[in-house]
Amino acid sequence: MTRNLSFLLLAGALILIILSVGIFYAVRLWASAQTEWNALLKKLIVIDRDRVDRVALDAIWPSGQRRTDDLARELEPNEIWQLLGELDGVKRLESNSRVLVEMATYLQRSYPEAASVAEELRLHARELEWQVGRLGMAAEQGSLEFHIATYAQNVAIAYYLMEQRLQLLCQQTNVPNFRSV
Amino acid sequence: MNLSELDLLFWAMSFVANLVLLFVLLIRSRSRNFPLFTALITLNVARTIVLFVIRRHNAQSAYFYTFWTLAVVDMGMQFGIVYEVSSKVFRPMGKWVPDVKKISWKRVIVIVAITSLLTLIPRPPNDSRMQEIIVKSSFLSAALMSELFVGMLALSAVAGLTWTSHVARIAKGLTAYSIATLILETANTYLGLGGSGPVYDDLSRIRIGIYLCCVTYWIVALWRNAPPSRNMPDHIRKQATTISQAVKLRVDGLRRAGES
Repeated sequence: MTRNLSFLLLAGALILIILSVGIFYAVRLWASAQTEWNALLKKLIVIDRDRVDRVALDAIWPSGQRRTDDLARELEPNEIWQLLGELDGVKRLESNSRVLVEMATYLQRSYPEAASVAEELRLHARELEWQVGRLGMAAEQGSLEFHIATYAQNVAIAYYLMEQRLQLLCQQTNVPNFRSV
Repeated sequence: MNLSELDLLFWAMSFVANLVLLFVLLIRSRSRNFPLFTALITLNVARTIVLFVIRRHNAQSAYFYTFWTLAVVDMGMQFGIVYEVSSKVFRPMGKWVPDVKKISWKRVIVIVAITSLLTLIPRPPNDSRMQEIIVKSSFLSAALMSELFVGMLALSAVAGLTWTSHVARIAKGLTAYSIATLILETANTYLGLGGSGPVYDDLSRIRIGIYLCCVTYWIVALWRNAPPSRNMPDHIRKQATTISQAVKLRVDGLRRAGES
């Protein structure tokens, strides 16, 4: 095969990859923009929020500030893991966080004046996704037990704070709150 | 350097289209939000005038160097527009989002390296070393530009960031044009400039045709105002009051529990 033909094939493959990735994400953005509020509500998975709150409030105050009192971070890693429903439970939180990001995007589109709260919410949801990603990697590498205390609790904190921001956003924009589901 | 009637028609159409777009950018005050994009369109208008004047004086060497120098400036400005667009998408509150800081630079370097290495493979039939450098660098810049726009699209979708109407329109046009350019530059790099004059000319005409479509799209999209915010239906508003009150009670309870 000549060098020019090799180039043509490789460049063709590059163009196909660029086109595929571009179309995939363009469709994803388009679909997200078409989704209505009620459809987003239906996407949420039921979770035991009291358990998530318990893990989060073990490390932070409801205001979001880190607890420094003697009773802070009393929960053992195993307790945290059980309360969050183990890796499946954490995955459910991650799944919900993606929906909550879409909700924030929806509200941001409809009510641009609420952009700052929506952005805070998005940041918490992304933080949660990163933490879950780290947990997933730790599980794959067999070092999950060493990371539960930090990553899993951070997941709960991120989820807790994210819900608070979305609730604030819902109050500002007078739309139904996700916690009705 | 004789141009056919079709070439002159394309040339005139590009000039008029760029001029109309520049008019739209200025009259609708879009230039305030997109200064670099406006500068690029201004450059395109100026380039057409300068190259036309040089061509009338039949200064082939001056035409060649002016054409390629302005092409380099054009490419630099396109990278600037990538920054302009990304600063609007990835800086929603005037601050770069952490998603940008968490970009895997190793991955970026690998992609750029692979794309660069790709240009070392072909040996296109060119008349001079300069021609080879021109076709290969044109391919490389088109590939990098396409990768940048698609990468930006992917990152924004993953990060859940919204594209405001005009930013999305400009980015959409540039992405389509850069991918089309990449396909045409692949053909140019494969065929080379040596002895393939008619093919090169045909590909250039196709590129101008695609650019004209993009400019027409921008003229219409940037003339129109961004769509107004949607209003929430009444039934959603009614649900809201009830649910918000219930949530407020629950959060107040949590707050009291945390403070006690």
